Order: sequence, then C-alpha cells, then structure tokens
Amino acid sequence: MNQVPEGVHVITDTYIQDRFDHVELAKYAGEAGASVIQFRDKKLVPGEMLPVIRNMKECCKQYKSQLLVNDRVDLAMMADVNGVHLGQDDLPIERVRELVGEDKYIGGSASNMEEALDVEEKGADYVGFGHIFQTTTKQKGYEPRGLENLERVATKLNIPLIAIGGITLENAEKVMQAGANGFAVGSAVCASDDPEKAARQLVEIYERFR
Amino acid sequence: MIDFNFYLITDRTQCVADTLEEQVEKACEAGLKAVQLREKDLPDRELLRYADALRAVTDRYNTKLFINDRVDVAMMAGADGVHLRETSVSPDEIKRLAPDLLVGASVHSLEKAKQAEEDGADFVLFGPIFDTPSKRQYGKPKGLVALQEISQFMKIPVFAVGGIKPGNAERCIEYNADGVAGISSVMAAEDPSKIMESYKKLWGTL
Repeated sequence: MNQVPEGVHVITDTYIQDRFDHVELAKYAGEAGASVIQFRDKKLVPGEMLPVIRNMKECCKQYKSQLLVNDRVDLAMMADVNGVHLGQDDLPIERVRELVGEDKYIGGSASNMEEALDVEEKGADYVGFGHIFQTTTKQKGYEPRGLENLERVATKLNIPLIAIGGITLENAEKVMQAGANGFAVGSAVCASDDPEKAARQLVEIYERFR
Repeated sequence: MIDFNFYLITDRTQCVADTLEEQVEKACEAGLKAVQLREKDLPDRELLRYADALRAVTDRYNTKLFINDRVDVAMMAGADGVHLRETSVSPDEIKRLAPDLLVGASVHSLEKAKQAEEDGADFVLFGPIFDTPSKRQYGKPKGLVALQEISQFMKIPVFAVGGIKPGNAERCIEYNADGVAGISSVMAAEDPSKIMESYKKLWGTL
C-alpha cells in the first residue's frame, strides 16, 4: 500500500483524447497501481459530472487508488470520494478543511516556493508543484519551473511534493531524483496508445525510488 | 419557509454602487428579504469572498442569502440556501448533503418544474417571462400564460423571472406567480429603495 498521496497521480483527461472516458481511464490507472486518480473536467456541467464521479468511485473500489476531484468540493462531498485537489484560484484550503474534515485528502497547486509553503501551512496533505517541464495540456502564463526549483521546494517542504507538468516516461526519473515524492501525469497516460501500460511503467519508475 | 415575495439576483456588472455589497445593502435597508449571489464568471476563491461579504451584510438585516449552483460555497459562507440551474445537480443531492439549506431551482419548462418539486426544491424560478438581454440565451420569452399554467400544477412557490420591473410584476401576480425575481431593476438603480417600495406595494411586504 502506498503512503498516499505519494506516488503516481493520474489526471483523467478526456479532451486531449476522446478514445477513453473518465471511467475507463480510472480503470487503467487503478489497474496499473496509481496511488491517486484525479477527476478533472472543465467542460462538463455539474449535473453531468456527478454520475461520472460516482462511476469512477465504483471502479476505484477494487484498486488501492484514492479518487480525488479537482476544484468541485461540493461534488466530491456528494460522491464521498477520498478528497479534492485545489488550484490557487479555487476555494481556500483552510475553509475546505473545515468543511470536509481530517479524513479527506486535500492537495494544493503551487508554482513557486511561497505558494508551496502557503499550501502546506493552510493544511494540505500534499503540494502539486509545477509545471516542471513544457506542457501543452494547460496554458500557463509563466515558464516551466524546472528541476532546480523542484529540488529547492523539496528541501523545505514537510508534506509530500508531487511534481506536475510535462512529465513523461523519459523524464519521470529526473523529478524523483530531484526529491519529489511522486508525480502527476495527464497526457503521458491518457494520450498514450496503451494507457494502462504507460501508467504501469510510470508506477515502476516511482517504485524504484521508494 | 419561503417567506419572501421578491427575490433579488445579483449582477455585479450592472451594479451602480462601488461594490456589490453596497448595492445589496441599500436593498436590504429598503426591506429586501432574499438575495441570490449569481456571479458565474468568477473563480471560486473570489466567489467565496463575495459570499462572505454578502453574508455579513444580509446577516445585519435578517435577509436570506442564496448561492448560485455551489453548495460548497453556500456551506462555507453560512448561506441560507443554494439556487440550482437546470445544469446543476438535482435538489435531492443538496438536501442529502446539507438538509438545512433551502433549495431554489431555475426551470424553463413545466416538466423541469415538476421534476424539481419532486426532487425536493423549495421553490422554482420560471422564465424568462418577458424579453430581457441577460436571458436571451434561454430562448424566447415564455410569457404570462405559460407562467399561469405552471403555477396551477405546482405546490411549491413559483417565482417569475426575466424582464421583471415593478410595472409588469403585477401582471405576473395576476397570472398566479407567488413572487418575482429581479436583477437589473435593482442592481442598476441609483436609489434601489424607490424600486423596492414599488415592489413592496404589490404584496404589502417584500
């Protein structure tokens, strides 16, 4: 059993590809041993999201993966999943903690040292730090943070540090070497010809550093 | 439970006062009993800031506060209720998660209105009744006859929305609306108290 939320986080993305839906991607990630599966969808309306999240939860039951919902704390609570992931513009971590309690995971995004330490101080269970490398999935207004910044944050942070942004089979080892406790991937799994195989290979890379 | 006749819906872009909370406060001073925070384009963190600010104001006047779509924000801000769109989750999801919250539901057909009632909504907003720029995305105005038809079939209160002004609100009441909802007539008013007075005359109380 992984010490959640360390390990490989797979963010289900149905817009960079349309061959697999959220539930299928969750199944591949779970089968491969991802520690976290994060539902992220910026286009579905809330009424459509809730049944998808519930189906993902049903699917995740048989795996050790924890299911987190991006941004929508209300839907995460309704579906009673394992937690939420919050960006800097999303609901504030300390207020979400009051609402969901200690039993749920809260992850927070950060793109610099100050944000990372703030996320930790506000009571998150892990920091998603990035983007580390160039990525096309999310349009960012700043340069990739690179491995040096990741390493610097790793030395200061007490909660797990999850690297995100442009992480592939080729560079995943490097973020682990830099001190990350895991990494989050979207396209490296979802856009792969064989998502389960890609996820499995990423989990193997992570396992080598445990 | 639904002890108000006039339901204010916010739109900070039409706001005459410097801040949304100032404009809402003026309406509260004039007797407003219920307001819905509806600012769909805001990031969640900013939406919560507005919710907190409106809660502080509405608490002083004992005015009910509803939050559009987001029950998490409603719970965090200590709001009285949540207001659902047709694309939101169903009212029974809200009632399961937060039984104390009131649930309003915007509907655009009799079928959806009945469904919302069955699923536990406390009131529905039906419209647009009259033509109004902000509601054109929902199609042509539904008109007064449709309002009357829906009101006949519903046990929970039906509020009319869309192009409502003090001048035509009376028509909605004639066609069996239990209340009306307004945006522009209050948000864009220099002195909302005058508008509120005209609304108040329709029922004797807001």
